[in-house]
Amino acid sequence: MDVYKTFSNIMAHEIKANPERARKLLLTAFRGFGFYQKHFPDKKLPASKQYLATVCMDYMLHGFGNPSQAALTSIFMPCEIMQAFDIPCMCAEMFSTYMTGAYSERAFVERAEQEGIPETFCSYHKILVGGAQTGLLSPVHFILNTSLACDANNLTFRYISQKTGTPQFYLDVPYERSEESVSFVADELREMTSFLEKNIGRKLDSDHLRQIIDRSAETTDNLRATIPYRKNRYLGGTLTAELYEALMVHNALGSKEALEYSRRLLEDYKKAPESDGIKIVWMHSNPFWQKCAKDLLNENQKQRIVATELGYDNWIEYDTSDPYRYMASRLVYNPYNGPVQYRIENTLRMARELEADGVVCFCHWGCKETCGASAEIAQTLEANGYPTLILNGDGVDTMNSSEGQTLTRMQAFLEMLREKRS
Amino acid sequence: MICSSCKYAPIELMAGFDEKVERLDPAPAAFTCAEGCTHPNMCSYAKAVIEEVYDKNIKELILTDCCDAMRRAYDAMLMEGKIDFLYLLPIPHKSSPVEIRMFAKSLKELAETFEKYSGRQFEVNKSVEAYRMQMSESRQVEGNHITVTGAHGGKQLIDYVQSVFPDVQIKDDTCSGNRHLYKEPGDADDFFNWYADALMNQEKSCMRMLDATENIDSDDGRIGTIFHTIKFCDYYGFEYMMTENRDRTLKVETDTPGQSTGQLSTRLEAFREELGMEKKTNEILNGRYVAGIDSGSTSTDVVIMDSSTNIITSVIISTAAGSENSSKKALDEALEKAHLDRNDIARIVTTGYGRGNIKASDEAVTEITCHAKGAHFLYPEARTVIDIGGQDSKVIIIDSDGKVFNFVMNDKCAAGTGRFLENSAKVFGYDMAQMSAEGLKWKKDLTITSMCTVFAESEVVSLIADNTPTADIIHGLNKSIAKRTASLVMRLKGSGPYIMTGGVARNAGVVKCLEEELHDRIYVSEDAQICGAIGACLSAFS
Repeated sequence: MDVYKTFSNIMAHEIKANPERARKLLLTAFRGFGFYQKHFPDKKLPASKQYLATVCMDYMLHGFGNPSQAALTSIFMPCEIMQAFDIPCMCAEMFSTYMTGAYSERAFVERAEQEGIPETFCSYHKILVGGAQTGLLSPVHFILNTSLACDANNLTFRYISQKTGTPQFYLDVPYERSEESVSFVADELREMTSFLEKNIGRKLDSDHLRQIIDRSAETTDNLRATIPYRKNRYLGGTLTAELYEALMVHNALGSKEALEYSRRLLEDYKKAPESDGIKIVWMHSNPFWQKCAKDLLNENQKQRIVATELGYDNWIEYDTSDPYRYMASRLVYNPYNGPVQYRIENTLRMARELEADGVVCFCHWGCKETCGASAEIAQTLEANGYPTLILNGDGVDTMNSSEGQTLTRMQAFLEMLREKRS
Repeated sequence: MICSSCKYAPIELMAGFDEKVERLDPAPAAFTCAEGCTHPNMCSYAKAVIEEVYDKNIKELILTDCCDAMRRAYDAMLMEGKIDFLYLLPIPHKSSPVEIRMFAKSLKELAETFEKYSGRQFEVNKSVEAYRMQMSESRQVEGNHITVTGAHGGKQLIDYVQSVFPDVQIKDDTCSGNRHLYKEPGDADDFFNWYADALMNQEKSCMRMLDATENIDSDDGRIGTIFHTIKFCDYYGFEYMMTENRDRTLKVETDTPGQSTGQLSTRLEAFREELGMEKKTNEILNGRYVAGIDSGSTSTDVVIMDSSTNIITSVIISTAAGSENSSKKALDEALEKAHLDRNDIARIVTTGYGRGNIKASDEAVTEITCHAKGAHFLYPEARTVIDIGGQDSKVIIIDSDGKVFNFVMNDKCAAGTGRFLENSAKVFGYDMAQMSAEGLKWKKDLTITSMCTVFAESEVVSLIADNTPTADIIHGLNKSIAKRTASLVMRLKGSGPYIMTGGVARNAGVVKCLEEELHDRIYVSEDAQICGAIGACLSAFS
């Protein structure tokens, strides 16, 4: 009996029949899996990544398990302020990824499409909307989102806020990189603090925020310090772990767990054996659920992902003297903000520093930001000597991608990179 | 001349340089150039803009960062480097005073950049004058009208709608057609500040703005609303979903109107019929019989009825020879079978995809109306009609008189249509009867994970290679169609009693799967395949 399929079928039924029961069932499954991860970790992974899987599950459970106290956020929203208030956070991408991980995403996609959401809409956000429409995603305390990095943020959160009557704070990130834009966003973040203070009924502890910001800076320092080791050492990893790391450097940045992960990761890299396997820099999200992608890239010494854009977009060093300007700078100067040239430059820098063999640009379904720029990304990276695979797929909707087509493209690309070396 | 693509383009500002800003109205036949420099999964309007710019060799262009796709269109054109003056104007998402100030600064930077580029001085009085001029321009539509709203449709969509509704006015309220700055102008010295405020807070805001207003027209003189969405445009599909008042509203989705004329025509004509604006005829039925021809993508069906609506005969042949030839052949066969000749037929009504291309036709009526009438004739209790044909699938909600209450069709994708099954049958070397029979013999409940026809076909090939029993695979395909179709039913909140028509109704496996999805019985008439032609005959009497 296929346990996963059975669970998937039960969930598909329960989501329609009794969403609250479905939510409890999911929570039980996540808690059970979290227990399993903690006590029977994947021994092929280094200690840091075993720890990473556990803390990410805890992070998810903290938000998903306590919706009435939680904030629903976008992935680029700096969450240090919420940490200072002890508000659990849950981002759209994390929710959808965990639903797919639990083989339960299809019911949400179907419901959202039945309600009229465009079929061509980003699947991460489609699943989130479906979650709200089915009632599985219970109303949260706040909705806090940025305009970065795509249009879906301007629609999904507004829709859920209107549908559930949840207070929303929207943080508009100006397109232009300038100190004036940083000041503007810093003011918005201060305004968000007042919004939260008013809704919660207590003041922000600025000393506590300071501590959290210091942890954020130390975390990104540690991650930057792994770059020289990533270049020529093998540390077992998975596509899922790449997504976990993205969570650590975005919503979870500033947490004790993110800092601890970065410390352990650096230690693991220092002890890791040398490797001459094929090195890939990965752009955007990834199809962590897809068998062929897992077979080719998970825990594989011959070929590995050395860095993922959704992590290294935040490895940049900023001045932390003013917490609000620090968080604002991370948004305004994030490579995802502004023309695509910033993303290309950032990836090129990473490919050079890591001496990558090639780049995979993952064109997730409905992501116009990445799809629309993919031709330009490939052209520029290839002109600089980095073969680039434009891989169309879906990060979370398991029915929206072809196993055979992904396998052929990825295998051919890896063969090409190997040939190039020889 | 400078071109732009958005209603937030600062037309009046550029008048300060004696420059006229022309809104692009692209309707390309293909996206050859745009898909080469971007990606197929991009908003069709953004791709159309790129095509138009290169096709017309436009050298000066102001875009706005109105959406992801337009930002990427800008990036792609910037990289190509073929445009002399290419500018992306940043626009805030909110209208707070601080954001208006930032926007004013962006507008000033645009003016300075254009001064350097053109070598001309900005003359603020000309901008103020242009602003006053646009304020005085009348944009009201008085009397009965059809409102076209949603995503950019341009002249082509408006003309198309006008051709179907020649007797009423058309109000263009699409994102590119409803620009009106209404705020009173301030002093020339303070131009950038008040102009930024006026531009941001124009009469109808775009969905992109956080405080966007609902764009459905008021009821004064509105006969109906056509809500246009474009593939891979996030905003207007969402706006439609968030619109509560969908009374007398038809949603149409296109790849830009020029590329979607077939389905557009069917939907608009059916909408006209739904609004009770059917073509009236004063002709008197001179003969004893009428004929209905359903010219579909796969088969051509002919039904002949007498004046008491008794079916005299029916014929089904393949459409392989084209709509005109197949219709003629089918009609001749039907007349021969009924021992009639052409003079015995008082009136011929055609329906289906080829309905407009048949010379013998006295009137063409859409398959939506015909299927509704036909379904009511076959099963008067029916309230939801599910029709899965070769080219598309549709769900029609009908009232107790068989009149269309609402309908939805699948879009261009072949998933969930007869074509999907035909392609799969070819892989097994089966005909459709074998597909129907085999699909009921399944043992293991298998799910075809891909909804896309192309992906599904490759998945079927993989399953065959894995020695998966054919019956299980076919059942998986049947379930896939059933889920897709049930989703259409849910979208309209359809309820029983159900009737299924069209060629796929003969497939018992699909019908059974669909019954499971809908948790209800589905009535399938022996005449399910000729339902459209029956409806065409009935239309001949009206």
